[in-house]
Amino acid sequence: MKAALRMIFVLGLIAAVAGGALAGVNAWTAPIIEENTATRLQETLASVLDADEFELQEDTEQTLWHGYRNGELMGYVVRLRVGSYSPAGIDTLVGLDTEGNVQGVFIFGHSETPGLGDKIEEKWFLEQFIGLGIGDDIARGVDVDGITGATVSANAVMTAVRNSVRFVGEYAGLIDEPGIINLADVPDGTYTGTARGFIDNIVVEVTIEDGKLVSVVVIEENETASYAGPVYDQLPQAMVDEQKIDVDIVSGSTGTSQGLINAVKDALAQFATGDIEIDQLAGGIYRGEALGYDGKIVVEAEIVDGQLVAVTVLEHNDTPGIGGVAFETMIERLLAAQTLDVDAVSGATHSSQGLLDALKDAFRGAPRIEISRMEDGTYFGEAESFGGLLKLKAVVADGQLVSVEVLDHSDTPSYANPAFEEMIEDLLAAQTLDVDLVSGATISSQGLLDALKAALGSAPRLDLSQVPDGTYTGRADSFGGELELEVTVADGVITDITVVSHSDTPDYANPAFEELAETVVDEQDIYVDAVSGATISSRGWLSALEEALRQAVTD
Amino acid sequence: MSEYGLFMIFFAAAFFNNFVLIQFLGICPFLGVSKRVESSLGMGMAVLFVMTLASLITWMLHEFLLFPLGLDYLRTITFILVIASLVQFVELFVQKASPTLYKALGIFLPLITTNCAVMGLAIMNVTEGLNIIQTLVHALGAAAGFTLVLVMLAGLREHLEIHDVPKPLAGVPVALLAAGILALAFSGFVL
Amino acid sequence: MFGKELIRGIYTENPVFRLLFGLCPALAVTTAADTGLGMGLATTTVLLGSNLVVSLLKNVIPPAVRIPSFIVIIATFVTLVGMTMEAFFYPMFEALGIFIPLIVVNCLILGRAEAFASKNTLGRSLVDAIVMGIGFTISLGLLGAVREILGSGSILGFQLVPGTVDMALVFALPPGAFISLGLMLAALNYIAIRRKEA
Repeated sequence: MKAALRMIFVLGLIAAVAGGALAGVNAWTAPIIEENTATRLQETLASVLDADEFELQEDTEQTLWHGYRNGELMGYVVRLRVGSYSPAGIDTLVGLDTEGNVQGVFIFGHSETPGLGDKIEEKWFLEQFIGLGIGDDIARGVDVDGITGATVSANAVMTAVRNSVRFVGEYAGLIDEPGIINLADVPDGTYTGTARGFIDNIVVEVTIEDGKLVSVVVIEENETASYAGPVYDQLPQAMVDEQKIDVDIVSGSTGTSQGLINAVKDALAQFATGDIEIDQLAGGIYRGEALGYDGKIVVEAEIVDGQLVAVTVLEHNDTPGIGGVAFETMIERLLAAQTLDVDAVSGATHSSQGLLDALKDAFRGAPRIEISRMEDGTYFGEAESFGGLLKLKAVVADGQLVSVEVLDHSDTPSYANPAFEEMIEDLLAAQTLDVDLVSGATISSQGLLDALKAALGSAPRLDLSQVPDGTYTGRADSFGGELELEVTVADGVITDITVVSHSDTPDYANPAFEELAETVVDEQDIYVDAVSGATISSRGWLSALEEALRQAVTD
Repeated sequence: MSEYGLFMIFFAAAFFNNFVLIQFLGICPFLGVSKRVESSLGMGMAVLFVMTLASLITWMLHEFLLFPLGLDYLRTITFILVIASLVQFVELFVQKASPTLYKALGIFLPLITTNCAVMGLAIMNVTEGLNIIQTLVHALGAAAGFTLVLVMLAGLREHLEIHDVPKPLAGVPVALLAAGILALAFSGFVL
Repeated sequence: MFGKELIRGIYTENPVFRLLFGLCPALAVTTAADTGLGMGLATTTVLLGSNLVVSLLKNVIPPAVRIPSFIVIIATFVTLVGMTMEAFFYPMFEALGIFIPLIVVNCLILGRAEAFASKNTLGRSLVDAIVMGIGFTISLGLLGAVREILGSGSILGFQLVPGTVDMALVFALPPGAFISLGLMLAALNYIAIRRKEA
């Protein structure tokens, strides 16, 4: 018993002294170690980005520092870990300038096989990343060389750099948000898409039925089975279950997950809202250029009321016989289809594609409005201004802007009214929309300019205030044949609209006509929406109405 | 931090980064016990047993005690005590529970205390931030790799014994050369 | 007296080449001479500490708890050395990595505590620690030097062979560690055999 007590006592005493000694030395060395670590971190960060002050950002998806020199933002440093042979992976630091170009790469830590995997730390290997940026592939054999004998470790570093560039690109807003794909807008069918995974391209087939994603099948891939397996098991199912493409990635297999998601996006990219939809474009004249078969193609396209009304090739170098015919044919097809998704002219694929590319380029820019080319008439437009919606009316006669009148606005009158007056004076004098804003009321001036752009980008409209009192008859084609109506104007106000004759199905048409007449009289606006369920009849009725009033003005 | 495939962890520990041939952990028993295939298997099983238990216990001690209390500096002392007591405990338990197993494993158990593969594994599990499942798989992979190379070397040494090895090379030197050639073969996994 | 002891540590009872103690670090950290020497010095420090304390406490520690006590003492010194290295010799601390805490399972240290320090006076124990430490350090430095020369053509970072010449990289890699040690042991055996015959 006594021996046992002595044993416990001695062992306990040794342990206590040992613990005390360790705690003491730890208290002494811990601050030194911490300070050294901090200093080393700053030095390491400075080795990948030319800055002298680094600030760790909070709440970012990856560890991220902002690098400053004399208070000026020099760029970013991203720390991330990518999987490789060793369980802990490779810990990398990538420094990028504010444009997202790589300034330096540092291997923060790894436990790759000594002598082989640790070649990723060699200078020649890491230096080849410098200067690569958002537009580059950062892939073995493309813009970076791998390492013989350390393929997997080297690939892991490439992935790390690629992901760092992408992360900073998104973080700093250098990469445009990819177009949002609304599955409901995608026509039924099976689409194929490709994107780069962790090792190689992933090809998927995406099937849409009734606006629903019904299957995602990987048809080609070359990923590491152990990493990619769970991705292929989980992601397609998650996409179908959640009916969305941006599902949660499988942790540990980021490269493959992201590749699969991007391939699905690629398959449906043509339906992304980011694509150009002509009916969404503001009115005006667009100019763009692209490479054709032989040199630059410059085109001009005119949009009125969301319709492509004219395409002119201003300049090209393509073979006159072939290119010229191709352009004519393409323009015909474009005007008919009202979309850029038309087939190329066979035999002149390059010229056709060049024209399409030039148009895309044009539509990505802002439209230009040339008053001298505007049709005579009265234009109405509206735009958001300081206090709310601003509505105006502009009159063009003989290619000249003759008047601009603000009809309605919610801006502070004391500021806005003088500004509007000044703007209108400038606009009429300049005969172009390229005038300076009024200082002190820039938002209101911009609102006026935007509304004028909207007005001149749409078709001219009839100005009711110019219609003399009287009863007028108008005719237009409708659903079943010709439609005739009478409209009565008294004291500048439409008081009555009566259909004289029509050949449309009475059950559908009559209630629609009554509803339209009521709306027009109430709102004193002849450009109202068609009645749903009787669209063609409504359009015929509205055309006849406009025709009647137009005659009244010209008579 | 570590979110890597379990499959990869197992194979890395067993092959690419074999504990014995590539990471030099557990060299003493590797050279000491690899004279007979049968005893190598026995040692391998004992190591598997202790590695698995030690990994789980040390991982939990680190996760729930040392790390939360900021006592990381007691890691070495705690882990080695856990491993030493575990070996003692396992020895007693096996002796009581299965005399046959004890006969097979018994003589190898005390050797494991100073087997740096066990201690190395326990430290790696926590420094590389593995979770409990990954820790378990890492331990199984390490033990599998250890047993594999131990048995391989024992097979070679059994053959060497009946051959006429030059006297200065006899015994440990030739075993080291054989181990070197095995290591070359294992390095091939990463090429 | 000390000279005789020194010969014992370096040659007759060399911990690595004769007693085959501490082979794990001997193989793992000897990719170059400097890491080999660093490991040797770290191990020597722990050995000095543990021999000192074990020798002082040899009459206090009951035989039944001998091994656990030794382990606690050794682990304490290993941790102290590790913390000091991390604070003041960081590059070496990083280069040796996991093999610093693993000094605790180096059979040399427990072996000297058990076989020598627990039975001898303080003075003799300290001398034993110093000579064994020197023997271990020289062995690791030598193995590191051989591998560095053959594998990288340099010694302690100083380039001996022009960098354009391809050296036998395998000596810096894991297989080279086994082969170098095997050949060095064989060479020592050869010398011993020749001496016996002479």
